[in-house]
Amino acid sequence: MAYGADNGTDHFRPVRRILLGLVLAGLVGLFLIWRIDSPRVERLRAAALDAVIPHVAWVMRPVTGLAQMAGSFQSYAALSEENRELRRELQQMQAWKEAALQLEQKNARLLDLNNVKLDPKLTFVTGSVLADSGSPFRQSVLLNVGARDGIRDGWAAMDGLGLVGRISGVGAQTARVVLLTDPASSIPVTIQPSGQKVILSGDNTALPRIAFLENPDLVRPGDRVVSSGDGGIFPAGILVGQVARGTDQRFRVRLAADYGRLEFLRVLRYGGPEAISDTGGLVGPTAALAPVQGPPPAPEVDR
Amino acid sequence: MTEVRLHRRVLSGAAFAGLAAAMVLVKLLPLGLNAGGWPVPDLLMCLLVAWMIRRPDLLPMPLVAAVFLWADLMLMRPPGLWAALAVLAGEWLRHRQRALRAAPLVAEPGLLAALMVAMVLAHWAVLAVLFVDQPRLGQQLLQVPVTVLAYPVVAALLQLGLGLRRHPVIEGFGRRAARA
Repeated sequence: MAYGADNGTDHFRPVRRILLGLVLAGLVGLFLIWRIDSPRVERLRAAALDAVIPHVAWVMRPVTGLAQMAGSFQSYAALSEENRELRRELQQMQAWKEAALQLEQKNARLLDLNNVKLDPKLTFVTGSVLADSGSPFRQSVLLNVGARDGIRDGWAAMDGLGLVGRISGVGAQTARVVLLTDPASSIPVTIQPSGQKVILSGDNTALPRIAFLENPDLVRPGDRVVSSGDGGIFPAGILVGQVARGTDQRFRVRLAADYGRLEFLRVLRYGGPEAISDTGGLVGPTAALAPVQGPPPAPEVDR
Repeated sequence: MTEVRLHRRVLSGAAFAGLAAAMVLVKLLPLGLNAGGWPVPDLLMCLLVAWMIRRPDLLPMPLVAAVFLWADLMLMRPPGLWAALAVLAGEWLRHRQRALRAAPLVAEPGLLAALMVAMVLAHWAVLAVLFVDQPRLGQQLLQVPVTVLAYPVVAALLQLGLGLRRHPVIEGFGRRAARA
């Protein structure tokens, strides 16, 4: 009897088969619904993550911390050398800092003279990284801030230095950031100093691709890449990285953000550029009555 | 006696769910954020195959479906498809439990590799037919050898840690022989 458990269920074989059919139909049905109406199911996914991850963060955080400590322990071997190198770099940085301060003062004076209004400073919400996507083919991280903290879909996330990705999927307490290296990520950027506007699209490698480059002759490895703000979804002028040439001889971008150590991310609050809705008061009331010429007003950007 | 068996059933079900949850959460740890690293083993598949070969009677099919669907949701996979394939693979193994009792230990990783290749191919084909963006097939198949390498660890954990052993090979013929 002890080993006959599998035979005991023989009577239930038809029932079991029906159950298997039902379960399979349910799973495949969910998959098809996801294919047809992805946002709804993705919201379900965000809710599922939201229900789980904040409650297990107390386990995951220490483990992550320990693993990171183990990683940095390996670099202790080269500590003294690294220290010396850092000192040397710091000295160079001091010189740069001095130059930057002088330039900033000069810039402020000039702006004041010209009476230029720059963008108001973007405010941000800082969140810490709870989890990553868990799949080798998806590059995203989960932050511990969500709708509760006013996070919205589409906002940009950066580490201290450069752009990291954008919010895609918000739960009550968590939000997912799709990294620039994800295959689904495409953002409009500008290459400085030539000012060409291109699309930066991830392809699961450390260096995302530059697509739709009009004139490759004007671009050189080392050029700065900043977000362009086209489309009104992203704020303009956030540092993204530097142009580099990949092993496949295509232009790619070496990202400024340190993807090896994403611990805290800033989510930039950004409402998009204000739409100009009317022609203003210059055109008189008689002209306003006339049939509208020209293109219809642009549809609202979906956010 | 039924109480003991029910007790064992509930406990082992909880053990399966707990192990699976731990495996998924370990994958979710934000450690290897640099894109383009080494493929990581699919420990959940190791767990399913190792458990189904040893004690299919202690692993109900709805539990497999629930755990894999949850993993689909957590790991950003298209929800439901991989879970359905895993359930099919599990039931295929359950159906062949008699033959598997006699199979040598070395055959298990081979079985896992064959099952996983079939699953990855099916997954890829369905996604391709439905025009879902997905990584190249070669990249997806790279997971198989890594998973096979991780299999002995998971199998040893089940066998030594949880005491899940295969039923002895049945001598004789027919269903009645098993009850002897």
